[in-house]
Amino acid sequence: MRPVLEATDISVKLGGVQILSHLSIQIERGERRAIVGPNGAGKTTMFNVLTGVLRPQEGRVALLGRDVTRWDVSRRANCGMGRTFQITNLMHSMTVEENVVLALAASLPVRRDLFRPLASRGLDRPASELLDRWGLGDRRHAPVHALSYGERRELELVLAVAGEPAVLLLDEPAAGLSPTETARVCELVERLPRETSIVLIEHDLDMALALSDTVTVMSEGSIRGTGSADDPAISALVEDVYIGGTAEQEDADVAG
Amino acid sequence: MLRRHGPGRALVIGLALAGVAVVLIRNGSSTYSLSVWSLAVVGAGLGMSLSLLVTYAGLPSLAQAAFYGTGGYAVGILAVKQGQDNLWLGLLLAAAVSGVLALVLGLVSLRTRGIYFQIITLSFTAMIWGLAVKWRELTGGDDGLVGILSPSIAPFKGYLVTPQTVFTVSALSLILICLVVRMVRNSAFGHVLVGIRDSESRMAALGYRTTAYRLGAFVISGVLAAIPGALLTYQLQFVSPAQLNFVVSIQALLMVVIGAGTLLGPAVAGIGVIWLQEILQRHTDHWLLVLGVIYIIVAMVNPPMLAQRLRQRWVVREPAMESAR
Ligand SMILES: Nc1ncnc2c1ncn2[C@@H]1O[C@H](COP(=O)(O)OP(=O)(O)OP(=O)(O)O)[C@@H](O)[C@H]1O
Ligand SMILES: [Mg+2]
Repeated sequence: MRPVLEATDISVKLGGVQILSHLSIQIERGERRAIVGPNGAGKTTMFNVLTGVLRPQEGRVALLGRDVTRWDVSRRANCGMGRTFQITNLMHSMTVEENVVLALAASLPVRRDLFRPLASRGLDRPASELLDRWGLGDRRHAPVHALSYGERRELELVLAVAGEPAVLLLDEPAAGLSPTETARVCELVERLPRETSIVLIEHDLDMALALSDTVTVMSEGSIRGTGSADDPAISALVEDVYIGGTAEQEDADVAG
Repeated sequence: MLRRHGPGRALVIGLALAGVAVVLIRNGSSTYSLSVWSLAVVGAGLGMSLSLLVTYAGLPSLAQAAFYGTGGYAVGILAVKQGQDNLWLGLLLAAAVSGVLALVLGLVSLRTRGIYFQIITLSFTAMIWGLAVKWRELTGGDDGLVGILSPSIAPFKGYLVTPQTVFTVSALSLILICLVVRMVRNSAFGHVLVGIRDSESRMAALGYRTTAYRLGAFVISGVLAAIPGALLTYQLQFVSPAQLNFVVSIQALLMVVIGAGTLLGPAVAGIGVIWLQEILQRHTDHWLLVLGVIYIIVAMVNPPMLAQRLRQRWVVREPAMESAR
């Protein structure tokens, strides 16, 4: 079967600096893939290329077998790509429910009733159901700014799954969360439909291993290796890129 | 944005405004004050047209004067060069020309954000102003177009000439603009606009074509600005480059800033701004100076913030705020 998401030979240069070089990755249907790598490895940049935020100088991206390299973000989203952001990114002047209604309305066909009240489109019910299912039902009417940080991260996940994407890219969904909140987010990710492919950026190797079948190790803009989560070679590689990165930094500090 | 305001409040406001209008037209008010009211109502329409863009789409455009002035020139040229004197035809042409212009400018400017967007929209206003000054055969250059005849308001009897008719038509246009802005605010379209204002990257990731929505708002706003622009020209029977000076753009932005926070705020602020200008003009030659000082003070006081602080003090906190952890 062809992969759900495939990037081939991606190179990205930003401000004269090579951020990604000749990177290739394939995600199969229903696969759970973790991406690990030190700060600045280019993980978020790779997500930006996959989702269409960034146009790579070289390489192509294919989604469900179609070449989407020249497609913009919204078109890829409408074709089955969902994502969350490393930095929380919500419609902050609205309530939780209004955020979800917008996420649900995005997958409705383009509409004659664009100038009719959004409330008339009958999305309140599905929004409530979605929130109930994901455990945010009692926060339905809370404005986003009144949510705790953990709840915001949960809402991000709910928004990303509302459109039932074929592939979901999660950029450090548990960053900055307490252990309890992290456990909540892990639980949510585990409950995502099995046929949804998930690509998860995560620094915490334990969490990455718990949530994924395969792990891809990145450093300095390239993929160093991919293997099954229980492969000792992968753990060794992870250790290498993290410690290697630190050693390099120390060298730089000494030199500076 | 999902909250629906019952018809109650809108009805009360509407009736109150209608009452004021009837009183103004029927008795008491001199021809002079009625004509200032007409100017004020038209200015309020300009403010409302911009508020759609600033408040809901988060686009602080400085091109509003260009659409306002273009509306004026459209009816001016139609009347002077073509001898066409139908009000509705004039308004239609004004709306169409400004709409096309807004589409073009939107396609160019909406690729940019923040200060760059403001620079482009400001430059565009300056460009249209330059065009009005230089294209003498069509626009009359610096002198503008004079002797624009009052248009007929067929199928109704008469012309847009008595202060009462002018005021009535201007007030109706303001009501229409307010209704359009209200419809946009309450619509799915408006909800998406606010979403894009809050977080464009998130809305794009959800599948919204964010630039298309922004462009839609930009064109609607430009079309709305053309209506009061055309009516101003008909009122003054004159149009000159002053109507599309960038200062007019800033004045419109000021109305939006002062009136921020409520739907009709910019309209009320617009009426206030024009009346203030009129009164100052009558009492001092240095009215521009005084007006400038007042504007600076107003901007420093930040009326929406003030209003919010007052509200927080006197209105019971929302329950949602209390359950915040
Ligand atoms: N717009 C940009 N212009 C120039 N350099 C950039 C830009 N965006 C990112 N970079 C650089 O690219 C490199 C990779 O950044 P990226 O955000 O992809 O890393 P990351 O692996 O997600 O790191 P983290 O774990 O800290 O999130 C970094 O060195 C960063 O400084
Ligand atoms: Mg990152």
